Amino acid sequence: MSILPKIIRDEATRQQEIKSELLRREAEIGGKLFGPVPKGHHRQFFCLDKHTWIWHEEWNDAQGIHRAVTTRYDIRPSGVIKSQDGQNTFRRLSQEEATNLRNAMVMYGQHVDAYYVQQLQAA
Amino acid sequence: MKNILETLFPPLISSPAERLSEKAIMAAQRYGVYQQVEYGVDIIDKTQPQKQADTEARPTVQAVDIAAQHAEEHAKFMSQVRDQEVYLAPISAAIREVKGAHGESPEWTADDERHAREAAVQKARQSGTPPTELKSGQIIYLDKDEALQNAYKIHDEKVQA
Repeated sequence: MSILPKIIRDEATRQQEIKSELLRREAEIGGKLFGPVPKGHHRQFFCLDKHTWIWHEEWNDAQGIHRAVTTRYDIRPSGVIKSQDGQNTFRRLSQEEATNLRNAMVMYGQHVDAYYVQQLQAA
Repeated sequence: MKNILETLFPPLISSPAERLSEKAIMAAQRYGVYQQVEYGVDIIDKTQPQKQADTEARPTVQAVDIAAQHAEEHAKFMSQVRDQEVYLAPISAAIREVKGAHGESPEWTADDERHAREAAVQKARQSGTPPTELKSGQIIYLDKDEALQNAYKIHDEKVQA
């Protein structure tokens, strides 16, 4: 029967699904670190991998036009490079931005860690 | 071997082994996040060493609140970029900054003004858009040369008028 292979879950796929779900959860936790999210906004802040942090925000402006901005922070040995969608600009963080990002990273680590501890302790 | 019900209805039934596997992934993820944060913080500390002391003293919530406004304000600005007044504001602000850097002087000539505007345009091209800069009216980033040229022209007309 040809349908069987489709319904038998592959373990690797299952693990990938769990990882993706956890990353989504981390992104939600990260999005709440910066105070209340304005009504109608959807904000995510997360660590994609060791070298990449992402800030993503979507909302509808006063004219009802959908807006979205994705800011990417590349962690390189020589420093952090920032880029935003729609722009071919890559630049180093200013001192203040670096401070803000550092604080956000630390808070992210604390909150996400607390989430995992809670989940791992749950029966 | 998996029960057929587990295979057919995975979201409803998960085996003890599967739950263990999920927990192992969570634990790995937790450890990964810890390493990733440590790496990022270490890079920032190494590349921005002089700011470390400030980081410790700065109220964290205030600092991240400023960062939180970045995306929204930047996009707001970009959505208004066709508005001539918006063009004018960053260039004027840039000129003020250039003047400020050289000190206000009664000998400020038309040549100085032109020079300052050229420098401002150049700086605006190179600059980014941290939120505090946007709020305090300092130089902000314009990503379109055409917009910048337009701003330059509008400014010229206003100065000549």
